[in-house]
Amino acid sequence: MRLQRLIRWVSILLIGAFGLVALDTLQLDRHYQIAGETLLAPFTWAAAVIGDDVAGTWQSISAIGQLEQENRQLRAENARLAQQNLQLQAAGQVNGTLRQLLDYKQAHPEHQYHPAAVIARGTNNLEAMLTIDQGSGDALRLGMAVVDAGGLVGQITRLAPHAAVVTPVDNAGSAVAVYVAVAGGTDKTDPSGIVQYEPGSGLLLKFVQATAPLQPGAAVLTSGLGGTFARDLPVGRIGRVQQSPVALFQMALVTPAADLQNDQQVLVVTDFVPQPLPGVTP
Amino acid sequence: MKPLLLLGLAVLVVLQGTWLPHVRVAGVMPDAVLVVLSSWALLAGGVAVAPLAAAAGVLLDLIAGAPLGLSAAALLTAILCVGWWRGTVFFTGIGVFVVGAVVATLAYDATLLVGLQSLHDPINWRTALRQVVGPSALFNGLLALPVGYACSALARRLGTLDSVAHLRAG
Repeated sequence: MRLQRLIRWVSILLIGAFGLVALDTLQLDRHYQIAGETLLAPFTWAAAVIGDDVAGTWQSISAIGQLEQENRQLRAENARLAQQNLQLQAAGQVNGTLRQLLDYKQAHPEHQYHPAAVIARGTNNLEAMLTIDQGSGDALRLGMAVVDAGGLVGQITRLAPHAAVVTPVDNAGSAVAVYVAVAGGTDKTDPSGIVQYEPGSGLLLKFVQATAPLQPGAAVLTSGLGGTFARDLPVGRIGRVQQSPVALFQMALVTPAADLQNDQQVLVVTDFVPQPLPGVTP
Repeated sequence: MKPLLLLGLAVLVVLQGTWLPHVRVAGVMPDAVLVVLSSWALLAGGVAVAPLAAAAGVLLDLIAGAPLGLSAAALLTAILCVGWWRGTVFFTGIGVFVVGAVVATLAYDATLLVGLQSLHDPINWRTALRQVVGPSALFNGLLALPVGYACSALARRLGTLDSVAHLRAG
């Protein structure tokens, strides 16, 4: 009984299916098909959207592990690149300084130079000092002048085999014989004096005759008098001039040519070694 | 004295001669060694810190290539001044370290100026005090705020603070 009912239903379904195939073959069901598709379209669209979302979520969940690993790699890469960037910046700065030193060397070919790096500085605000990483083992001698890309930094006053102490021009114990390059002046008419440092005041040009023409902005260069420094090393430029109608000498502030507080690389002038004056003990 | 403290002081001395000269405010750099030693002198007493000050001063001069003994003399003077001043303190709190650092800076720089004047040419004291010593004292006074807190914490941990309990900060 039950089997007969089953066979009957299967037969009906088969006949229906074949009927639909026949209708489709003869294209007699087009209107029903269009109506069916129209009715079903919202449902298929919604199902497709939900399916896509579910598939996307599933893909995201399954990719979390991979993303974490990728994130770690990118972070490591980022840190490496940041470090590399810092190194490049530092190298760029050193490169810039060395290029400036090279420019100075080419602009002043009359001397021979030995490069050195500043490794230590004065430890208080009142007495500036510099220590460089080259010494007597590198053929440096006491009294040699030290310059940077701008001009005179100071003079070697203490030597060790692989280090040297430089007394910079902004040390109270420093005194540099200079002349001021006056436009149209000659060696004999250029005003000369001594550049000394006073804590708090800065570099001062002293002992210049009261009648000498001092103009702000004029270049101050080593005169070579006394044999302490080679001639024509740039020391700085004249700043404010202090004159008094009753004074024998006038005084001027000097803006240093060298970057005294930030020097990292310097050049030692090796072809001029001061000779002690006869009868003078250092 | 704990070896680690000595090592820390040695590192600070090296930093004073290498890195700190680049940290300038109003043209002056901080005297970190001086501020640390003056803060410590306020906690442990000037005489107790004097040997450290002398050693640190010699190291400072060796690193800078300055006349040997000048920084040691200046640091010793400053620390002993702070030690003396500590006995006259009538107020408490972190302000003690600030004023202590200012007192120490004035004594330190004055000793340096006397030394420089005896070694070199006469110095214009008024300009030096206005342009260098004053800003330096202010800078060191500000630096004494964190340093004082740190030294207090360290002293409490090491048990160095028992004799000067009234100076406890924070």
